[in-house]
Amino acid sequence: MNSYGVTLVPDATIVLEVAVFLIVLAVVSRYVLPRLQSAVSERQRRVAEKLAAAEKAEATARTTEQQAAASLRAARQEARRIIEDAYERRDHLIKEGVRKGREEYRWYTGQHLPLGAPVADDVPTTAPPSA
Amino acid sequence: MTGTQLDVVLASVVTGLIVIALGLFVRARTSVNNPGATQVLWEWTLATADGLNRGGQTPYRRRATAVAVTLFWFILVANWLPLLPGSPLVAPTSNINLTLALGLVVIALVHVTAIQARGLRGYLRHYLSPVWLAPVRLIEELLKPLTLALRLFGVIFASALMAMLLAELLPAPVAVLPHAVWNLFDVLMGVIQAFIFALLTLLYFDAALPATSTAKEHINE
Repeated sequence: MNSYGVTLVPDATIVLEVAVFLIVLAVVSRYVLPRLQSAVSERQRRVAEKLAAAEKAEATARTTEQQAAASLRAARQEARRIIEDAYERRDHLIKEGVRKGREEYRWYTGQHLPLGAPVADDVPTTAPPSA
Repeated sequence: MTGTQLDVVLASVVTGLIVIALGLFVRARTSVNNPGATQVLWEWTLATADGLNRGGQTPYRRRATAVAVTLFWFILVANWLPLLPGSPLVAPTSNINLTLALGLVVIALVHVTAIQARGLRGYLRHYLSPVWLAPVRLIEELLKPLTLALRLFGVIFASALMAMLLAELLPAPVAVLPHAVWNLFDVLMGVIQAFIFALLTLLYFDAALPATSTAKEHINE
């Protein structure tokens, strides 16, 4: 096994080995690692920036979503109010129609009340028998 | 100590040149947005060393990271040197001179850094208190480079020996498959040994350097 022998006793080679490793260490730690470290730091900075931007966008999206939900809630309330108003108006129109119908009935049947005068409730709502 | 084993030195120099060439290649092509495979691997070792280096980003911790990353690549290339296609070289890590040199450099750097970080008085207080434990600490420190060196040397030397035995004992056509399997095992073993050496280096630095707030938080966790 040539000089890769089993001996455990170091010789002068060890001095050269120390020198070789120290040179490698000097070159790597002076020229290679700082550059790599700065690249890693720069990448981490960019990732952090993008992460912050993404978090900001997420917060904006959440706010917009909340605003949309609030708008939707308000729109539903408005729609409910409009429907209730419509029902109220319908009931009013029906009552008004019934009242006018009774008035006309009395007028036609000879009671000759002026149009718009108050009418008693005993007037039948069905049509009079045909002559 | 006797003469110089030039073939071992040559293998170490080739290893060093490969590591430097790889490093300078990565440096020349460093990209923030589109890192290549080699850059990703170097960054991965750097990030792993940073992650294992629990004390935060002081200059001394950065030195520990640099030593660990360089050791990892140097030992990895040294372990894989005989596996390169057509390589006439044997792994220089299968010679005690290189592994002991690496162990001594690591321990020397650990102590020099510890003195710089703590001051001489703080360094002595750290290592000599309590006084009754000082001899044990001294023996421990003396044994550290030996354990680092012998572990790496033992594994890689045994691996080279095993490959040689396979080639010697089995006829060539039969030896192809066991040799291929053993080479795959060698590839894995090369990575593991490089990682262990670098990890132990970081642990030695960590034990020698003063604990920062970050390290204390880790310890509390």
